Amino acid sequence: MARIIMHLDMDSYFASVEQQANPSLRGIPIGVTGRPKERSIIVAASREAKRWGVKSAMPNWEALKLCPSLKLVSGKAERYIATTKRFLSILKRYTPLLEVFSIDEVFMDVTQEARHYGGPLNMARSIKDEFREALGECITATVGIASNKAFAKLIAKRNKPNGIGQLRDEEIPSLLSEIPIGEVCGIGRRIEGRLERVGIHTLADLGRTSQRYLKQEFGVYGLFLKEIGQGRDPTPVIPYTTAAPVKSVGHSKSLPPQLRSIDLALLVLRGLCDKVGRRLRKLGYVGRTVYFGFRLGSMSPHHGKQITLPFSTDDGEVIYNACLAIERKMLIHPKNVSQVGVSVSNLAERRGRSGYLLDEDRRRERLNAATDRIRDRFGERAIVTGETLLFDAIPEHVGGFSQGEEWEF
Amino acid sequence: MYQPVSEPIDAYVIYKRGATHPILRAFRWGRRRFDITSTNLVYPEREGETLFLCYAVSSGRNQFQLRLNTNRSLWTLEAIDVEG
Repeated sequence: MARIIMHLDMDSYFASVEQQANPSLRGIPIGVTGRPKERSIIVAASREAKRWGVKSAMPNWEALKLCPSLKLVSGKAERYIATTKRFLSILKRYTPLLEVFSIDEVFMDVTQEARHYGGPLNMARSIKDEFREALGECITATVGIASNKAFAKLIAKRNKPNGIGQLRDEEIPSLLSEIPIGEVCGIGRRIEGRLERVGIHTLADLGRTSQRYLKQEFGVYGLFLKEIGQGRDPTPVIPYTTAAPVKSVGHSKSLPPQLRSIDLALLVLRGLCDKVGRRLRKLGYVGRTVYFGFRLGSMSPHHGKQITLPFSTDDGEVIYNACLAIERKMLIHPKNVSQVGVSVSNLAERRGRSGYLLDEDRRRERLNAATDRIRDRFGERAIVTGETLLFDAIPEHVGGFSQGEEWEF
Repeated sequence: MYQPVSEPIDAYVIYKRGATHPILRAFRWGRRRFDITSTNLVYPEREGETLFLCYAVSSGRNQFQLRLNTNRSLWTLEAIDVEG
């Protein structure tokens, strides 16, 4: 029995939520952005803005040049997370085989359930009706239906916005020669470039290429490419109940021009290390490998290095000191950076590990536990490190610095 | 464009059976009463242990952002976008 896979993609998601929240933004081009007055980028463009050529990840200045009437709106993560939770609670009633692909994209395997609704098309209509009732008229979704994930996503993309598209297996072979390889989820720009260089431009080209060659060039991934080229994608829908284990915990931050000197960037880094430590403690993990990285300019490559500590930690100060040690070892010592980032990997569960031997370590552990209790009760900004207070403007200037960014279901 | 206010207000609310949040019908700000014509979005916000419910509502052509402190049952008018 062929699978019935649905891909549900919210239309211009963040912009639609903002238009739902504020009717005066409806029907006009808006761009959701981090900081409307700062050098920032468009996170999401409304349908009206897209008609002017405004796209996600475009700098605000460029978007305003394309669409002078564009209204920039500061994004509010809580709104999007709450809306996602609401639409997921609806979708969970349709099937437990639901994979949360991103904050605004979901895959569902409805092979068993679709017949109860009179087929997948009727099921999709029912979902969209429920969305309209529960989320409001502005927040819509496009649904793609196919026998596998890659083609369900592809057909959803071709039916945007607010559409429903179904691709039957018998229709796939005739489409393969029309679909450029870059249009398929799972084929990134780098792979696309490599395939293009050897004359593989469409899925049909990919399907005709020998499996041996693809495996030789791309390893196991080459087998996936061969399947996709033949209109197949065996990738299963991974249910939300099967949470992927955490491999690393990290934060990075793009810096506005007034915070780009290395001294101020390190203050921002101090705050990021605290956030990483706090998240590790919340998750119940400790980690040994610390990665520190930065960018010199918005378009420049990322420079970074990692070290493995002789012990595991969940302490922001230890992580910060490790970053400083990495920075000293690096070959580049810039005066200005545009982005800083830190992550901790090589994780292990904290539970069951022996306690610290040194008094100072035990003191730090008690201090972290006390600050965690204060933050749990009064909020993340209720207590911060002294270094962070040296520069009062950080919470205002660095968008999202004080926000919790985790979301889980 | 929203203008910040951050003032406590009196709210007229219905706790409807089965609803996920209290339904705001009207509020009094200063001497004026505003009847809610549509609730556009409701979402939670947490500050430590305190759960706030944020309401984006319309009263006629005016838009309002309000916040309910669920621990203390206090309503605040956070911002307004008033026509004219």
